[in-house]
Amino acid sequence: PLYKNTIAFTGKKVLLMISWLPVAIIFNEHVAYVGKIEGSSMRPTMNPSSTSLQDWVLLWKFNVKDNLKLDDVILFRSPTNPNKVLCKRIKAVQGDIVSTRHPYPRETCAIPRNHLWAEGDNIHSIDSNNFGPISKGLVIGKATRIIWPPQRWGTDISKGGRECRMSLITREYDDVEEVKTE
Amino acid sequence: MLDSVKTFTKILSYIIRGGCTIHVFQSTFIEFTETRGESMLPTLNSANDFVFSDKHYRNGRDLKIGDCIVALKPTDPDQRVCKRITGMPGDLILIDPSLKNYYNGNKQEIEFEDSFNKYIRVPKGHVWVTGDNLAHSLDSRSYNSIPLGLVKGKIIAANDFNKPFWENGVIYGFRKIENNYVDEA
Amino acid sequence: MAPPTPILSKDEILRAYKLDKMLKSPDNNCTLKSLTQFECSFDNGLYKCNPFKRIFQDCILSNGKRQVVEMTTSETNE
Repeated sequence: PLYKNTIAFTGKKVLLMISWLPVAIIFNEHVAYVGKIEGSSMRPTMNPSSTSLQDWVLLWKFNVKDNLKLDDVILFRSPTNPNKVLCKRIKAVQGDIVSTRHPYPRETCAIPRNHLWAEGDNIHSIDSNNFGPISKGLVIGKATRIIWPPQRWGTDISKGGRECRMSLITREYDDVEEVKTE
Repeated sequence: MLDSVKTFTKILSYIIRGGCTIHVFQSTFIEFTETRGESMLPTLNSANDFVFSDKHYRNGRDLKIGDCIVALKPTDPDQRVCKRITGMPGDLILIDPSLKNYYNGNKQEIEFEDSFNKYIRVPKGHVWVTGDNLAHSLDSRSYNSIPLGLVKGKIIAANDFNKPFWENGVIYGFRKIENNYVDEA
Repeated sequence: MAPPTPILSKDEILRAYKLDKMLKSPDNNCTLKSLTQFECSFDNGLYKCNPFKRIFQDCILSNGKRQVVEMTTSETNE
């Protein structure tokens, strides 16, 4: 009888665990998730050297699509290959005009409604300069902090990359002109 | 008092687990949702049509030209659209051969010919989608091809809730939605 | 938004993709396909839909790749 009880007890516990599995899946899919950053496109902010351990980030997903701001680090599905997920920084939002980099075929690009311009912090990066502005619908989540390895705790990931918005580039340029004429 | 709290937490935990199970099923296997709008006439009605969307095809897996899909609208990801794929990556297709012009003078004649002369090559990882009702559809002709990552599923069947529950052996006007890319006889 | 996609004329695609050669070569397995969509108008409380047929050449090239080219013209739709 003891043996029978043990089986019944284990079976019950296993069933209980399985019943919570969908809850865990939904949490990972819609609230938060831990993701590993691969490659060098976000250097020096993430994966600062190829010898150190790769960074793992906390990926916030809940209510994120309406709260995307400039300089947020986001993970999104690659527009050219839906099975690949990319990690880049938002460098312009809808309404901005961007000064593009090679290999984008035009010099400037106006960002359409609900689209983002995403670039890697590293100049060697496959980003919006290759595939254009991305729809917010492709965004999976926002990287909020580095959680592994421990020596990288507290790293500030809120800044990086270049300024590419035309309005700001030209304004800075105007300032320089003014100084000259004085 | 303590007992009622216990019962309440128990019921709540059942609701959470049950809700999440349904949601996981809907997002991995099959989803049943309402569609609205005139853009897919006559394949889908403008109101009261519900579609079965097969989630195996999400992110564009195994899709073919002629399939009906559900996708997020690129310019407004809170909205979903039903369209038909009329161009797969690499295909050379006309942007809008349906542009109607009339032979009332030379100028229109040129424009009419022009609509059969504007080709694009669908980029890698993207699909060209158009509504079955070409006259009233906002689709790739205005927002360009859409990335496969926005595709949420393929429409395999539909129910029409304007029809009676039972008619000629069919429940609520159930029908399969077929791929209409066929051999030209 | 998709990456910038150039709009090409029929002559341009004929040249750039050597279409004449591709469609005529016996090594390439080409089939004529069609896809029918509609143009609907609301008339007296009913939708009236006129079919609009699009024609494609669907080729399996000798190198195993597939190339679809649309062939719709004003004549194919009468």
